[in-house]
Amino acid sequence: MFRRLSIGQGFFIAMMTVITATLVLANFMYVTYFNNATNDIISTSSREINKQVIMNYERYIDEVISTANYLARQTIELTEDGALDELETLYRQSAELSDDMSAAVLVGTDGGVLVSSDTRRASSGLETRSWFVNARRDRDIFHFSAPHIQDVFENGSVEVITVTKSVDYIDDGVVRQGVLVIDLTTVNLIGLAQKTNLGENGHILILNESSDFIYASSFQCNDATCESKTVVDDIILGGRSVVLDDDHMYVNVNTLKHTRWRIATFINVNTVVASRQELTYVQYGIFTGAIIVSLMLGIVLSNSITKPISTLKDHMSKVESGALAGEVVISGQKEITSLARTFNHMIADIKGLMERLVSEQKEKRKSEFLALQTQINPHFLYNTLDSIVWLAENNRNAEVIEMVIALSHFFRISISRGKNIISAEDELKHANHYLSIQKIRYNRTFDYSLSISPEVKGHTVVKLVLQPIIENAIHHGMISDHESGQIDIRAYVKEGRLVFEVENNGYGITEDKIKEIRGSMTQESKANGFGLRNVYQRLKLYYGEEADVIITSEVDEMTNVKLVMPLRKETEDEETA
Amino acid sequence: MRKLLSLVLVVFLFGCESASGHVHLFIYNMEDPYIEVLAEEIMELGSAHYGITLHDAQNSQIIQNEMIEEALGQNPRLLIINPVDRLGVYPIIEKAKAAGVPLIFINREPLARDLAISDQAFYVGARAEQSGILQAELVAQLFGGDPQALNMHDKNGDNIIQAIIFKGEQGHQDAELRTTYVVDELGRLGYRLDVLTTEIADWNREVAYLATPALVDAYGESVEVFMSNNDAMALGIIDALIELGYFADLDENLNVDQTSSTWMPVLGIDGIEQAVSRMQSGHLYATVLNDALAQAEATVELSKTILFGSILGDSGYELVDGRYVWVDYKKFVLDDEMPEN
Repeated sequence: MFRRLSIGQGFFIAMMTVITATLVLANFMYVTYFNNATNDIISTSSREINKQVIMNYERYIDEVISTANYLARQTIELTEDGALDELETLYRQSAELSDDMSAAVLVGTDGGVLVSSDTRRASSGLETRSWFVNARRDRDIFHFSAPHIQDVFENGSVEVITVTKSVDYIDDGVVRQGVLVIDLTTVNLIGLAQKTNLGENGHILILNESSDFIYASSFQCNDATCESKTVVDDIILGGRSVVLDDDHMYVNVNTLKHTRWRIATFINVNTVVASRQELTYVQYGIFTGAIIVSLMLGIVLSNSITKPISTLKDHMSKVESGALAGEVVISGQKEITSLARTFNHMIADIKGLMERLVSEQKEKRKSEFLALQTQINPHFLYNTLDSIVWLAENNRNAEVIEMVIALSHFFRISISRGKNIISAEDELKHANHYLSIQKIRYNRTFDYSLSISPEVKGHTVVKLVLQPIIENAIHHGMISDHESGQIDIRAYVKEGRLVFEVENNGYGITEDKIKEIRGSMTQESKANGFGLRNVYQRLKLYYGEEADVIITSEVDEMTNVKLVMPLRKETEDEETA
Repeated sequence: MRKLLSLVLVVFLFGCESASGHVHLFIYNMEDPYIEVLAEEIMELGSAHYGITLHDAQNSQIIQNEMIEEALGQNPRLLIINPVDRLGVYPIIEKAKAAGVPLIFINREPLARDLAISDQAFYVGARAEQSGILQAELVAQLFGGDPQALNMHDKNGDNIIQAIIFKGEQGHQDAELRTTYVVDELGRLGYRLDVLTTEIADWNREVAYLATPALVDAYGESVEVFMSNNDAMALGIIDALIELGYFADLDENLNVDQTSSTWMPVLGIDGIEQAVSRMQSGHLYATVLNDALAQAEATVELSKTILFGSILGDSGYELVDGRYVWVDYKKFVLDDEMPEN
């Protein structure tokens, strides 16, 4: 997987993977731990508050129950003795001593009031009251009613909670079961609920076993449809975090001993939740910061390792594309600098080798060039001198003179003070001299023309390129069949090139032959076409790709050889070759 | 890779919680010696069949509620509950029902209508009235077995038993029933009983110990027997009586002389270990064995029926009304120490 990456990328990815994984893990664990810890704090502290509330209520209920138990015990003892007055005093005292005991009443087995702490008239039909019926049904437990308007007396007005318990009393020596009724005002109950600080919108619900309200400290929640009630019904028992009207609350539902009530505390935990959120944001901020810092550090580090390498690589690819530019200078790790040094050495060596190779090639080209040039002269001189001797023998003195003069001019240009490059005019003059010599030599069996465009003037050419072509034109173009041969020499500039054209009206050559000639020109073979190859190779040696020799022919019509060369001004290249 | 990582994390984070699939036993208070024995027996018998965890509520319903809530959150197989407040268990039953967890209540009986909330709520216990009846029989035995002619323990010879009753928690079902039935049964057997006073000592040895001197002060001359709702209170009474000069060891054989005039008959209920040793030393006349071992056995057998579908009848216990297993009380008295008429 990492093989396609650069060293820097690989290093960077590896490093970032390790760092990111570590950070993510650390962050995750921290946030999880922190969340758990704050959840624990919220739940523990809320549960503590709930316990405190429950314990307050328990204490209160315990007091009520111990009073009731005391009254129950006294009831059986005093009724046994028939001391009903004494019992009534006891009931009254108990009611007076307690802030919130509105009344203590002993209801007989038939529903009649036997003992009352109050002088008010008892209601009739007490035996049908639910608190009476309940007490008779479950005889060994206390029954706590929902708040209601006091109904043990006629015209009751205060809201009370009725606590009842089946008690024994002695009526004429017979044990009977009555019901002890204690009415509690709701003042203390509410006071207990309000005493506890549950935070903004925090509230308490007290529900009985049928999940009906005993009390709700919140004004918004007084019927079964309120949200708090729904939450409690869902929890049944225990604690949970909820959101009520944008307030984070921790709800605890607990049972209250003896009463079969459940008390639900809704404690506002907004501040804890808010600060937890804040701290979580800070944590994520630190996490992001750490990632960014390590990202930048990673880039810097991986760069410091790979920059020298990539510099070296860039340099190497430059060398690969042919530029043996100067030394590469690299600062960095020891391995890389020594690698660069070695590379520099190598380049220097290659450079030296290449320079030697180039100069050797130059030398070789020069000697080849000279060799080719010198190949022409003896051949021609032999033939010409032969012709002159022949003319002289036939006493054609005028022609001898003409020929010798032409020959002398010919050689002057040929020699050209040792220069290889001459002006185009001289080259054309040289061709002219050659043609006039040959015309005499060949008994004027052909005619020739020279047409020179004016723009040719002032340019240079490699010397003695036309002569071998003309020689070919004379030799192969007409010697045998045509009595009146015609050779046209043209010099002009076309498409930025200098063109010399030699055309004869001989029998022409076939396309295949042209191909063969072209083939022999480009190879080192000495088979045929010596002159053409000589010219071609000299042009190539001197001008390179820019020069060409083009042969065209029409059988029985003409053969045309074009020498194409780059335009060179006379001053430019005196020195070359 | 990611899966592996999260797995490692999950194991790392939650590896410590493995109470899922457990049976949980909730005890109202391990300081109650009878309950302690019962709890230990259940732990021992139960652990042969499943993982079981004990939770002691230290007599706080709030703490017990919290423990039960936590246990219900751990996907338990079964909860065995000895409730602090037998009246307050209806939300527990509802919550367990919602979670699909069966419940066995032990020793403190929830209201029948609360148990009826769920099909999977059971009760294993003894009938308190039976313990009262058996205690009455033991009292009858103490006084010679003939209601018309009480033996020497009828100190004033009036053929009426002068008794002080030590009652457990006021309003506690067992306390009420034991008290009612010991009185009623003695009457039914033809004995005449004079309850000098009923002292409420909350099942507690210390409370009973502290209350006794005042009672001796008031009724010391006339009292002929102490009848306690449980052994712990009986032991408290004995502790106080010893300090007050009762229970002389006349023959100095380290055993109390029951024929001595300083001997005071005390009867308990439960049959806890210390009570048995007090019985062997002659201090305690008799107790009614609330057979902790049998109750524990019945509880574990019932749990096996619930969890594994084993047949309860095979173990000799019977499911009554689909949810009750009643364990019998037994009279516990050392016959050879019994004074002859």
